[in-house]
Amino acid sequence: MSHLQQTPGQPGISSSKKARWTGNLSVAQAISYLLLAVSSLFTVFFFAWVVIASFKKNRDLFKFPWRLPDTWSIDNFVKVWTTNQFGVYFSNSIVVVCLSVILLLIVATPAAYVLSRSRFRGREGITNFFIVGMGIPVPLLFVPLFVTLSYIHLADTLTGLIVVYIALSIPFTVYVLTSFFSSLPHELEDAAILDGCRDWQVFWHVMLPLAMPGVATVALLNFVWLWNEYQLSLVLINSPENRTLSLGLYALINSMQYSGGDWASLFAGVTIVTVPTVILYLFLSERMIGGMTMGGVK
Amino acid sequence: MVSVVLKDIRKTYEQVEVLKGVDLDIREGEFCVFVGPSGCGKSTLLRMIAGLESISSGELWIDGQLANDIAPAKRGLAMVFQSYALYPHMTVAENMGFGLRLAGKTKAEIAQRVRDVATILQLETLLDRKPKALSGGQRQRVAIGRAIARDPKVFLFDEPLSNLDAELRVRMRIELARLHEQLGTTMIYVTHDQVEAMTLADKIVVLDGGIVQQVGSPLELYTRPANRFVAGFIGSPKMNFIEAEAITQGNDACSTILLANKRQLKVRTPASGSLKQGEAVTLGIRPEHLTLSEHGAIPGEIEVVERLGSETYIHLNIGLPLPLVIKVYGNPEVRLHQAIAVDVMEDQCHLFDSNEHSHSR
Repeated sequence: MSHLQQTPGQPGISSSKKARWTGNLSVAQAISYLLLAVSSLFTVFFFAWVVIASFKKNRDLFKFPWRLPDTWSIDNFVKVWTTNQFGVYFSNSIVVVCLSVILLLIVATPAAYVLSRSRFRGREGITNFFIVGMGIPVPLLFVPLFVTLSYIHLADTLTGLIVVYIALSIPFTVYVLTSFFSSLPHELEDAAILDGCRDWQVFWHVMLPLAMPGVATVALLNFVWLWNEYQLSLVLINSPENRTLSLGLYALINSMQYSGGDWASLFAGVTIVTVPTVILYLFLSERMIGGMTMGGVK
Repeated sequence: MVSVVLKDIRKTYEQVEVLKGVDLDIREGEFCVFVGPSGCGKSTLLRMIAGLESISSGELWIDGQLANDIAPAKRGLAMVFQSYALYPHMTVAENMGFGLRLAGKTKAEIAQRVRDVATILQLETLLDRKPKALSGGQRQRVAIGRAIARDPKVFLFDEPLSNLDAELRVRMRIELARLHEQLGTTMIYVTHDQVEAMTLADKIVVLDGGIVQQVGSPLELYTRPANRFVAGFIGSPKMNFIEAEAITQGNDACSTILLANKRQLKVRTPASGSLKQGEAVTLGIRPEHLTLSEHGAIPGEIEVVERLGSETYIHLNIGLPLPLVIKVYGNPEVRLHQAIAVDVMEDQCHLFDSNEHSHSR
């Protein structure tokens, strides 16, 4: 008789299999899983609560804070998008962050490839130069950046912000991508050269496709950082029409002093700010994890 | 078919000279094997021929043309790497057609060529797979197929079988030999495995420490090694070496030597006539040229018996630091710690002088 007994329409697990499953789980493993589950629930819960709260009216939010909305209303989103100008801020953020990340990758990826694969005098010095760049505290740069951008008439412009974002992101991006490129086998380059590739063709046809997990990793990390970036945009952007979402959220919080605490709208604003990075992470996380572990497995 | 000529090829990394003047003439259609221990410079030499390493000094001639400054892709070479070096993000077909695509061939030409090569190597059903979905042997065939697709003048192989298991290695070795027979193209093959060298090569180049020790056919290296290094490197199990002293001068057909364990032995006098009385020499004798005998010239006690089925290796303690290894066909009735003796085939003895050069040359 088959060990697996199945009732129609229901997956069946024999009692011996179930006993084996729980028997194989040690106490230490069970505690680990429990702690991880609690930690995950803790994180997910508050995020989910904010999102759910954004679909409620304010009075329902305070009256029934832990209940699901009786009616799911998008009024808060509409209000924040139009009245509080989040539509403008959102498009500003999309333009600034997407362009920054794309241009950053265009600049940093070839640089990382050359620094990791070529041997020339000064290579280590240049690599260290990028690493040192990561150690500069950004607040120290507020005044010089503002002065410089003003001098070249890019202060209070999205273009100026993009340039600054790219410049400040290059060190970290080059550092991460250099180690990714270093982990790729040298024989692939040799094979490509023998097949007839020039240097840039080796990069374009062979090395860059293989480094995509690393590229996805830095793209995601930079996107998240730049999307949530607040201090630099606060210093460099003054006009309301040039605000990014982080500045817009700050403005929304300030306006709550005068609007009587429209918490539901605030949660809607937070949701608008948060959701894109969550969606991007969901799409790129597998590549990112692959990128994190690449080189650990031959 | 194309010849490859190396004239005083040297390679220096910073202050270290890793190749010290290599002169070599590889004829058209020849299967030439570079063999030697790790670090001897054989892969560096191959890479210099390929153009992946610069030549510090010397001349490389390919097909009658000085190739030192010719770009790797323009030398008409194709290389098969130890780690296969297949592009992981491309399918088998794309891997094999990549070089042709870069050369500007049309899609139809590339597809046809890939199909033809796939047929030769029985890869037709694998063309749409990625390398990660292939076994080691399949990957190796794809690597070879990629090389063949480019229709090179010379094939270069850098230890292509070293990542395969023993059984697959034997099969691929036979396939490579068939391929050479079929294509007739000049092939240069690098390996540290002397069995591969002996079975595949028309010509073997033995390297050690960046210096060519000997160049010759497999049998030539086996029967007339130029020095102790070649003698010890070629042949499995390794040649036995015993320190000795020449007692009689090399005038007669046979000479007598006194072994380090105080046993006297008659050996064939080297044809060069360079053996001098009292000269310190090293006797070299292959395991298969020793025969078990009750009252043989060299007695000893059996330390180890390795039975492989068709042959047996007996390690005999003859009172010297290293045991004598004897190769016997079949399964002789011997046991550990048994006292036996061995006879030496006089005409199969090799004598090496104090500089480790063979007295036969």
